[in-house]
Amino acid sequence: MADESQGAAPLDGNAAGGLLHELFALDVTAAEVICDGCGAVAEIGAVRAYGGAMGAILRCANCNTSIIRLTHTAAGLWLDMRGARRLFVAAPA
Amino acid sequence: MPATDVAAPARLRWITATIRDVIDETPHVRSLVLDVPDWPGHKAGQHVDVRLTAEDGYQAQRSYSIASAPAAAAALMLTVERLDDGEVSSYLAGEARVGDRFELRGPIGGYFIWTLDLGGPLFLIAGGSGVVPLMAMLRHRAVAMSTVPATLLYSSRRADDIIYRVELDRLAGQGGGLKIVHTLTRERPAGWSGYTRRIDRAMLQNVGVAPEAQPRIFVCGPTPLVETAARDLHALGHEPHLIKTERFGPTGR
Amino acid sequence: MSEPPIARGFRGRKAGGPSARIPPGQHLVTDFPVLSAGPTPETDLKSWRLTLEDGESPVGEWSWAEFNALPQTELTVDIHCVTTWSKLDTNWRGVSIDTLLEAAGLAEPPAPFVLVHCDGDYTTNMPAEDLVDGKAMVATHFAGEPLDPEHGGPARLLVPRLYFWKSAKWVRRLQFIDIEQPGFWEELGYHIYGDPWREQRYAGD
Repeated sequence: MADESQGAAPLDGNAAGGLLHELFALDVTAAEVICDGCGAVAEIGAVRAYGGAMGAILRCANCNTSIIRLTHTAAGLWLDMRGARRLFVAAPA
Repeated sequence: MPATDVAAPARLRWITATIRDVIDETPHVRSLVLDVPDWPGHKAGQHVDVRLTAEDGYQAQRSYSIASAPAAAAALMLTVERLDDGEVSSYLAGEARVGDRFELRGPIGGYFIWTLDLGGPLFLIAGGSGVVPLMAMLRHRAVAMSTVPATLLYSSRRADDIIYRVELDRLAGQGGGLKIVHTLTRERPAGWSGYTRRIDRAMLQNVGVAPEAQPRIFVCGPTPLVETAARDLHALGHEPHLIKTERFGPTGR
Repeated sequence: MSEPPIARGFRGRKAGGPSARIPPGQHLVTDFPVLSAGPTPETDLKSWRLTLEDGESPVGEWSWAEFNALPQTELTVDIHCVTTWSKLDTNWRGVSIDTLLEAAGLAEPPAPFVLVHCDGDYTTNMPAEDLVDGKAMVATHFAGEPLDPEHGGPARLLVPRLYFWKSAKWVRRLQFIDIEQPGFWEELGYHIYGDPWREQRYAGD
């Protein structure tokens, strides 16, 4: 993995966890997300991320839709979730 | 009727860690034992984000899995592989020494975790430094004196790249239901009794727990290893929801 | 808010610039890092098409064979990635945008801005004038060899004067438009123009 620039290069939803935690009040890596492209359900931690040091582009393993796009620039945090139909975070047992 | 609170873990803040001890695990891998005041505790499998600040204000940030068991909160351990072009890893697993300080935040991650109540049997598959979060799970299991059956299939380049080798041998030798199988991808040492090839479907089938036993499976390592193993496990009949994955990087082993 | 602790002995990657050839905040690399917003597509050259569009109207379309029969241009340029790596003297071959416009019967770009469409829902944008007068091409070869799929093969846009995310991989359509539209990364906080010499990495820079 090219260790580039100042930011980590997330490889899946796990590694994007810290970034997501800056925005969400709780951990969402265990959240289930429904892909708006094909309806497939996945846990965010399991979803592969592209984008390297530019940002985390989490793509559906089934249809390649960008479910979550997340960047952290000097201006702030950007989150595009148009590819996610719904998110579900389970209540603790 | 009040909505059930979705429990929020402690707010994620950057806190300062001080290096208490440095352990050279292999020629390329080093563990750091850290003093972290007000560490909120963690679950096995979680990671931290580490941030280094240089004197000129330049900052670099990377994620590292926690290697220590949750019970060892006073001695948080990170295990770092020094990458050739890694500006953070070459610092943490190179220059850094006892007394040095840096920032971290965590624990992070609610997906790739194993807690005792999740039970087993456990089937853990590691490629290279992907063994780190799985070691936290095995250490957690050992501290709790759990006898949940556990199998670790661990792929390394060469015998002296095997991280935690002595401790793994000791844990397996205790007769508490832990089986460890090694495979090497770039070496066949004299007297070696493990496998000598990349993890494949046949190896997963021979080594692993049968799907009927519904093992909880955790796969961690370079992206190609993780994705191939997950596909093979699915093909062998394991339920996808019982397979958890964590990708560590695109470099093959 | 207290200052973060300095990590004793930590030196970030030495930014080489600014110098005559290395923009501010960049460092030199000798390898060629790969960064993509999605998986590398498999391209069927038989059905590959490159299109020039004036708004919604196609004004030029080339098959792979037709495209490669156009006059070729070679460029040796420095490239700069927003993630801070720079690579000097990279050699490319392909078809310049000037040639494409001419082949489409156009004396100049039909509109002031361009939205670039690629495989895998990737888009980027730039002013049309940054594509003409020898400044840009659709490249098919790098360092004398056909472009590797990981690096954008069979064909990528090459706009070396802007940060390299604008040199869009797996290009399919160049759409000339009247009103500037942000592409994939530009919608996520990256700079709408992206001049490495003014260090325009993010919106607001």
